[in-house]
Amino acid sequence: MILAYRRAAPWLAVVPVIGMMLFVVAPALNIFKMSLRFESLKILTTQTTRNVVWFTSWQAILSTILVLFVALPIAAITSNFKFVGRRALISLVSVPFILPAVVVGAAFLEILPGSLHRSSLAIIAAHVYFNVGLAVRIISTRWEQIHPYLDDAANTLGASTIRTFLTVTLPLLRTAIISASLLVFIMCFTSYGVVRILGGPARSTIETEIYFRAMQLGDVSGALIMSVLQILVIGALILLVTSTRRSKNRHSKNSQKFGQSVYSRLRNPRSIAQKIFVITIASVSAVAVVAPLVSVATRSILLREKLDTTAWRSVLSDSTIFSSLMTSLRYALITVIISTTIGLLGACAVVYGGSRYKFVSVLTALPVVISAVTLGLGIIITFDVSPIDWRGAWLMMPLAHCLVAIPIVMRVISPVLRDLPSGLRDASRTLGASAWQMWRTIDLRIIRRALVTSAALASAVSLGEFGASSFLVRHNNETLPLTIARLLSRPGDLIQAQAYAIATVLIVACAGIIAVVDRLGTREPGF
Amino acid sequence: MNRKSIRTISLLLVMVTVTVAGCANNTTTSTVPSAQSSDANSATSSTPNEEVTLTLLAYDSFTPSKNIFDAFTRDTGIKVEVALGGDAGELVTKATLTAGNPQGDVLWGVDNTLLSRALEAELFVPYATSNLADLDKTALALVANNEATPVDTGDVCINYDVKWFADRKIPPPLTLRALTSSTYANLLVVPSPIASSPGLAFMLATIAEFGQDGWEEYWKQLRQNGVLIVDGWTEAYYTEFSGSSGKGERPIVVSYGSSPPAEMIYASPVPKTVPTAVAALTCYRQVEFAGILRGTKYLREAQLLIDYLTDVAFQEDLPLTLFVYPVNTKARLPVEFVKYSLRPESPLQLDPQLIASQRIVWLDMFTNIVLR
Amino acid sequence: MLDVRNLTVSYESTPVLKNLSIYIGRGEIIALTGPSGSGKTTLLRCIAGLEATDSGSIWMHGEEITKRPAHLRRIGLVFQDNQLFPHLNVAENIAYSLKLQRVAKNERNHKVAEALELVGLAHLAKREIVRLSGGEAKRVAVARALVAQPEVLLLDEPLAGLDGELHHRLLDDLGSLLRSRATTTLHVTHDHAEASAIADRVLDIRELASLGDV
Repeated sequence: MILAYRRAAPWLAVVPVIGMMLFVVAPALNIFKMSLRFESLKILTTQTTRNVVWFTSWQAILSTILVLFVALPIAAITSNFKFVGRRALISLVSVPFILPAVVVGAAFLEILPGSLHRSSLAIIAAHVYFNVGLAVRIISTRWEQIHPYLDDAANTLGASTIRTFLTVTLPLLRTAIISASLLVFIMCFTSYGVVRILGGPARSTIETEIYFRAMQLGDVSGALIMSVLQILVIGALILLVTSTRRSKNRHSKNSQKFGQSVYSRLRNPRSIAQKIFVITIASVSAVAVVAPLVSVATRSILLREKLDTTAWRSVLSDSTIFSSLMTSLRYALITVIISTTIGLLGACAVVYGGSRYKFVSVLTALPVVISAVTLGLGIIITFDVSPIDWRGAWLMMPLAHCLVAIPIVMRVISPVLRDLPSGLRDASRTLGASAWQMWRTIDLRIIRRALVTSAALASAVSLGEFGASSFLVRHNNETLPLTIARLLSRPGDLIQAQAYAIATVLIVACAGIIAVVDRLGTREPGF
Repeated sequence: MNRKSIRTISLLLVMVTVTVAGCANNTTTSTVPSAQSSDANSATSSTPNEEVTLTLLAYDSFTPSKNIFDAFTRDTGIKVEVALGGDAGELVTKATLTAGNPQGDVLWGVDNTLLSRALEAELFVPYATSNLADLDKTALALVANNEATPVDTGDVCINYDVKWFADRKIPPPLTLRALTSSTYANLLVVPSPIASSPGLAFMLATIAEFGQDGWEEYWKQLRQNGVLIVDGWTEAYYTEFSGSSGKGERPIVVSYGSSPPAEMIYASPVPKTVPTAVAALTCYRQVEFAGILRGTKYLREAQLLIDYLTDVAFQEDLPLTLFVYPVNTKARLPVEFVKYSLRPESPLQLDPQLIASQRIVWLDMFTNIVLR
Repeated sequence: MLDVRNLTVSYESTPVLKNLSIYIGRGEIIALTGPSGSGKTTLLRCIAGLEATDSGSIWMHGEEITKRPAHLRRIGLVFQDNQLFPHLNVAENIAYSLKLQRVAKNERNHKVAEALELVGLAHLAKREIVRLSGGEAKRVAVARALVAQPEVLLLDEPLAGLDGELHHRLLDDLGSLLRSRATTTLHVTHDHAEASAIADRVLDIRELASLGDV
């Protein structure tokens, strides 16, 4: 790396490191410390805990298996066939993943019959809906890289399509499938908003149990133990994910680094069977993604089975809903600014500083391990002594949003920065650019798209964040997801319709964000 | 070069700070104008001439008459902003988590089931209100040192849909024990004691009735008999219960002794007979308290507000707005309220100390017996 | 003009260049040959200031520039793989150094057009880099380096990978271009025919190390 860049690394790392130490590491250590101090470790052996851990685990396992069953056929058509709307389909199945969890919960409340509300089935269905896009993206990225001639070779050796899939494709997809399943498993294991909305009083994951214990029972010590349990489980899983990913990377190192592989797998579906397969999978999955969203929008304009815009009008005129809208927008703006700045500084420090700065990437990834709910709890119990008595400070909530967004920003920016050919920087220097000019005209320019992408994703995180927010909300700074959850728990057609109207607003916002991200991702070859 | 990049970084940081600070100003000015002015004035707050706005934190269903605080403002020059913060349990938890650095000045709505938590966390500054002499003695007995001030009382009781039972010629359930009978299978809906205070009161009622040895068995039987547990009282009463405005299917619900008058007074058209009734032997007494949050900048003003909340005028507003009984013995009850509501002679009760020490254990047991 | 004295460079304690000296006079075109792995590229990177040296010194116009940062040396380098900026189009790539020097927009456009004319690519000004052929990309790289008006131009295997007709034509064009502008040039290649076709002097890197070395 360029000397000036390497020299800048410690300065670049200062703010991200201090920020993470203060708002993630300190609260987490505090949680560990306090949970040991309380003599309530016996909660780990109670029936309640066993029930919660058991439910959390089996629903996550089942959800993951179902996600794979749904995602594989979709990945099969998007990475093998040319068809109209292929890119749109990939974008579409990704929309649920960035939707606020409470919105997905609301959507399933609406489409599922009343008898299934508050059932495990509803939670699992919502988890599948939520995570299929993630799995499709991971699996199809790998699938597209498999050389089409391998399939042809198997065919000429006498393997049928299905045998080819089982004996050639599936083994090659193995690592992608494993990392997809582990990620999906973690998402379902730590699911919070969906369970809060769909679970009712009877169904609790570790994550919601932390909330129930701390906020409703007032049993902070019990919540802390649950948090520790959760951190340990996810930490172990993340280690597993990263170790498999590392081996996967070693695997695909020799594939081309820039641009797409020369040979495209995409072919026009030829046989009738292929056409039917593509049309069925594409249309069923598109309908399955859109239907719950449409039903949310529909619910917002129906009152007693009649078209009625009262809910929408009241959303616009209701001062509390309007103020949550403004709060959400303001926090999203703050989150975008702070998290992209910190993420950018962190990514630069990691890439420019070399191996000694790897700890920065570990630090900035911590919020994933610690989970949003625990972050919220940790912040409350940590910053409660003067001079840093910040429990009441409104800034804590957008800050928590930032913490959740920073790992994503880092993941988007770092690879682009790392893969930037250093020859470009050399060229720029021989043309007379100082280090700062070089950074501005080369590095910054080339990660510009990644910056916009990460800003878009950060805004989605902030707009949908529910876990940490439910701890940090004060009487005057409710955000839209919190408002939805509050309204949904109250009776009355109009109030429910208002919740669905707000959910519609968030759906539209998230669809817009995915559109921005995918447009940037596909335009212009190279970068 | 190095220095240049540092300069850029600091520039970026300054930009961020400025933006955030800008936003901070926006927050305070746009959503809580009162809070900002009070912050700004805090240093010199105690001079009576300056305009003070008190924030009264309360649970979501705190809905007194619209202009009820106008008289207070007229008399004292102090404005009151009501801030709702979830159900009673959540309200107390949030206040506990911010004890000493409160979100408001006065908190309304800690009941006797939650009181021990509030007192343990030293949420409140003790204050003996000027109306002390007029307040219900049994209620006052719960707060020996005036840590909080009782503001209303009520009863959590089994309510039933009168017409439903009349139509089917089935006798309504009159005792807690009756609810385990197969006659009432799949008819009862209960708000979860974890999240709702009437739910908790009902659970405590069963413990008071069947004792610490018997209540678990009772709930096992209730579960076998098809009891439905929902998140909160509003959902239980308005969505699942058949006797109220909701389209629910269950004719027995845990609600308040004062729910029947609400059905009469606020229905249009007014029904000829009361649609719901209360099983008197199932009632558990709830006392609600208000308190001055420790750390308030307006101690004197908050004390004045506590006086107002316990004053006759405010107390007389409570029955028809919050459907609770006044705690001020001088307050008169509206006629229709007396006519339709039920005030049990000897409600079920539990020792607050026992509640304080066992609450979480009981709730865990409840969760395991009934929910999982 | 450019004087490299007793240059020693090593990578992780493996010496790449040992006591190497070379002198290039003003306006001279020197071709430097040698087998691959003999340190040709390293030498160019050292002269350009992209690589740190162990010992020895580099002088230009009688001033020592060994420690001078790359961007202040006014030494142009045409990379073997061009290193055109993928986020800029042809004209923007060429205008890059002019923008750094804050040359006014009119003048900049004029100079870019002139450079494009010079390398015969006037019709490709707005083309994206990824859509250029190998020969076109090389011409852009040369134009980009020349526009910065370097005191010395370093060419690293500029014609590698181009074959036959294209190779000849580009070699001719490059030769006449450098000569017409009297650009002091160090041209690295492993192709002796190419070297003698373009250069005033042809040197072999293996002969540049002074005797009696380490």
